[in-house]
Amino acid sequence: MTTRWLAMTSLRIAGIPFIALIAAAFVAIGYVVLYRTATGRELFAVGSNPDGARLIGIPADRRIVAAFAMAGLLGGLCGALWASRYATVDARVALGFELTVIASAVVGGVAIRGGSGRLLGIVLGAFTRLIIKNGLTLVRVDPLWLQGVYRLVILVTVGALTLLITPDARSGKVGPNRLELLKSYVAAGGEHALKAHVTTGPHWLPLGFLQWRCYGTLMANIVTWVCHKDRRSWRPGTMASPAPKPVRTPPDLWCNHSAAADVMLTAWRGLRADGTTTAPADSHTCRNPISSKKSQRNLRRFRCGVLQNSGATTGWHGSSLKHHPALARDVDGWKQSQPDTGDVPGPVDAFSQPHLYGPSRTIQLIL
Amino acid sequence: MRIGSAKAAMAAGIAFVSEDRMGQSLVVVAALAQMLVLITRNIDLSISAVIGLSADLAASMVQAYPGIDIAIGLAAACGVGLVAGLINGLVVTKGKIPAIVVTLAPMSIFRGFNSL
Repeated sequence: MTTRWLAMTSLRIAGIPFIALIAAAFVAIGYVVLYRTATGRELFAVGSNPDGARLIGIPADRRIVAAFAMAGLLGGLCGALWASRYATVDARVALGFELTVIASAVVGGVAIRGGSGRLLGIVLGAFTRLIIKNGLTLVRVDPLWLQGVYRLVILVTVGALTLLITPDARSGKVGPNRLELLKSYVAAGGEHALKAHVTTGPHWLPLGFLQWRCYGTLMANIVTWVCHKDRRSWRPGTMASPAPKPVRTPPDLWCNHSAAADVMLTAWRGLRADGTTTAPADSHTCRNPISSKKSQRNLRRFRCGVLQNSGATTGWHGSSLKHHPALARDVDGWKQSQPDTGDVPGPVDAFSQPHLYGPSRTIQLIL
Repeated sequence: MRIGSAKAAMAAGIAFVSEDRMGQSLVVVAALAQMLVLITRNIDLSISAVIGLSADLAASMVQAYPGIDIAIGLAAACGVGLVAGLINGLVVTKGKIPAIVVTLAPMSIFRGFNSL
């Protein structure tokens, strides 16, 4: 039997080591159990949100015990294969092996905080580890440094993953949202969009820290790109996380045309031809857009046609805009030229009552 | 030329994968076990000790009873691992102790059994 026991792992089937086939079989079984059965999904749920899992009736403790038992069983099998493969067993078998195993799993993208991970990831993680070790040996790195570099890789990966998965302190958002935000920054054209988000959004971090964060996120993205196509699997707390709050941002002068038009419209009433303002102090813009140099410049550009609106061409004169309460107020010449509708509403502006304004208008300012 | 080199690279890759270097398959199986625990927000530090214990048991069984079947040896090794994992899991869930603390002790205890 001893020879048969030793032949168990040195056997080759169609050129492939039998031990590799065993591993592949167990990965396949693991795939079916983890992704195709309710029990497997409940394991993820328990790791993702233990309290939530208990709330919806998942026997979390039993699942945890089962996970430990299955891990022990696989460990026992691994030990038997180990005894078969190396044929020498002493008290120092697999000493320090747990670090290798945990490193493989974590490099492969299994979240150490639970709730996510992919089987392909751990296989790739194990091979990545092998490749790093072999490569470092081939370029004749000192074995001492080899351990150091190896641990550094693990440290960097774990750090990046933790960065991804830890919820942001302010917004409560977790990794995927950060990825989405980063993508939106890139898609919207880099610096400008970044600035807009940082200055208008209360939901993001100071700029310098943001850049630092972006690097971490990017790195994690690269590391996990191969094995995590479905990024939703990254999110812990998927089960009971509340719906994201809509972020209220003031209208963007540059991007939102109707808001820009409204601000201009309000401002124009108190403006001279040279761009300086005669707007009274009680002008009804809640944040006086004329107060800044930049806004004055924008207004000049707007008036000479540099800053254009798009959409259906309806001049603001002769359109229903003329009857808008924002126009009917405040400036005598305008007010008297309008039919007196009887009810003059209170202060109206683009910020406080944006619903009064249509989705998109084109304004031709004729001076 | 390019096709030839691509073929050579592919062959080298296949050879690299098909050759079980440094017990890579063992790492994959153990990482699968570790993943099962990790996704439940726990960690099993004692996995190497369990491997050592079951390897020791299987080897000594093979040595002591050369007549028995391979399957029995495998089953015994798996059984030992199962019991060890059950103990870990029960202590974690019933004792409400963090898994990293719980599994640190068996890491040494199983090594101790191993040395007997």
